[in-house]
Amino acid sequence: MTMIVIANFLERICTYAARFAGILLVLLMMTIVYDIVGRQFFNTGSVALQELQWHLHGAIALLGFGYAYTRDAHVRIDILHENFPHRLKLKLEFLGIVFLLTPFFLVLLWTGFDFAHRSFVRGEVSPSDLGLHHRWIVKSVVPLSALFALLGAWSVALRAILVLRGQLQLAYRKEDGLWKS
Amino acid sequence: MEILIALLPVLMFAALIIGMFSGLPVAIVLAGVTFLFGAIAMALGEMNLIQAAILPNRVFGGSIQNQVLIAAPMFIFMGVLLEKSRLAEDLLVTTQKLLRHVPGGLALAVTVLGTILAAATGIIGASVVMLTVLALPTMIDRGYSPELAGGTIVSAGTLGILIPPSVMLIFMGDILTINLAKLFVAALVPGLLLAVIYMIYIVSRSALDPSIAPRAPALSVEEKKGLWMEALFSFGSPLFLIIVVLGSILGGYATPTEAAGVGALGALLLGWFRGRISYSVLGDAMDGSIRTIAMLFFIFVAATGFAYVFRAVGGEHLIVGTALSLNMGDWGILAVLMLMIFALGFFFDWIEITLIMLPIVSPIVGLMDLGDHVQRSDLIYWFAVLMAVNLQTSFLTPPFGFALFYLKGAGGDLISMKQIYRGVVPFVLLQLLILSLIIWQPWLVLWLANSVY
Repeated sequence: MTMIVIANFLERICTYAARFAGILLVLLMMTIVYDIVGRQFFNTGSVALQELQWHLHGAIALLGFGYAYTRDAHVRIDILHENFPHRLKLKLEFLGIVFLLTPFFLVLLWTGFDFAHRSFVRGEVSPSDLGLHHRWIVKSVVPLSALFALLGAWSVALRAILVLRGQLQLAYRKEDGLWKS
Repeated sequence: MEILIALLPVLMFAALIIGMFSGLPVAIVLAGVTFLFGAIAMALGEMNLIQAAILPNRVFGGSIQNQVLIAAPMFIFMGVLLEKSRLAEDLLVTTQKLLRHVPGGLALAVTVLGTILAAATGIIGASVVMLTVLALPTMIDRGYSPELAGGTIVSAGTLGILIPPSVMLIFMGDILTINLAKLFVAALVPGLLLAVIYMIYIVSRSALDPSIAPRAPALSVEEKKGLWMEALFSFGSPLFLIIVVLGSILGGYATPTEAAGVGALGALLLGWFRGRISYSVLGDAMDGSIRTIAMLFFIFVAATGFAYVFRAVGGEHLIVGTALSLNMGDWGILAVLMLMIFALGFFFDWIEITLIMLPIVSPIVGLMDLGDHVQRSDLIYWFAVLMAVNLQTSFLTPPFGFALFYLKGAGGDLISMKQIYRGVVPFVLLQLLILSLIIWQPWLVLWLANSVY
């Protein structure tokens, strides 16, 4: 049963990333409101606050890929798919992850790592004097998003194998929430 | 070999369409096709490895360092908060009580809810399912005809892509690089026009034939006593929130991002005042929002890669070249684009059409010139609104319109496919009426937008 342990471990990592993104939603909301109030009433609006908004947005938008994958939240065109036999669907799912998802996101992981790493080495900062430093942090979101997509998808791929072997009920954990368990 | 190179964009597009029907997540089909054709293009010398290294820059510039798209997660969060704190449900119940003397009151309440909840769900499928679950059993129970009930639910569910704060419009604004606030204003008039014309239809139809929409039972004294207070809270407060959010954009006081942030805080506070916000509700709202946001951006990231490779193998050149060589004139091109979008809407949600197809056809839109009919600078706004209304029509048109399948899926035995088809026809006709009206009279779309921005 080591496969299920690995699948659960991969899923766990993705869920933590998604929890982080969920909390950032509230943080982004507060940043926007704080920025408006500051600018309107206290003349304190700043470039750094504006930049912080898209930094937070980027993390929210991209860090949930793996989590959404394990929960089967990604859209599909299921007009034909609905009528496929159950086992065929699972095999397709596995093959799709191996041959469609994995190569592209490995490329994005690899080039994205390079992209963030270069920024770190150069000590890249915002082009604006008053902007945020450490641009590599937000740039790391690109390779991380690819990493989580791979982890979440592979968690599903392993589960699909277990379901095919009759050792597990479902490949996806659609009903499991973000916070419980 | 030359032929293969010339055909690459066509093959790439065909592979995408065929692949999507495998039923695998759309984003991974995009990713796979992008990798495959990127590799082929490199093998044929049409692309080089260094170009692959640009991918992260594209993703970063498109999805992260993007001032416009920040509005999307915030509007989604706002909508999901309204849903999870059950403020949306209250709104339906109260509206229906308030409208109990109006023929078809319950159906009207559904239209109002669909209009307001547009942002909550992001995708057509989800909003139709939510309205079906919330309203269909009650409507059938009250003796509404399944035809009227079904038609009302699917039409209200698809209204959400048009009426701001529609997440689809945010992405359209970004892809077409136009002013989002102005696009919101442009879409508002046709959107409200549709909502009003639906309501007129529902009321007059129910008045003429009360058997399809029986009056609501009289309220007990108990229920009547608290009704106005209840209305103030559960109808007034979300409505106030929406008016503040939209009003601040329409008035030019706030950017869509600012309005979205304030809207999310407003939804949270409304829920909190009504004692509906606990850690578990907030957690659920984060969960629902992250699922929708991740789903959208997963496709957006993969589509970024797709568009990049498609352009590198000459796809854009091919499309623009074909459009020009067909010699059908600007109206001809518009007609072809509209028909194409209509046909795509049979199978795909707005997500695939806006995120994948729109970037591919947008160069053609830039070339169109309709002379005196629409000013060149306004044409793109008008086009975006036409596309939105057109998509809505397509989602509702039998036999394929896929909003209909979601209704059937969620409604189960309560409604048959035949009843859905029959029920939706009047709404499709109303849609077509509005669509031709805004093609014929572009000022309906542009007048308010131009007077504000």
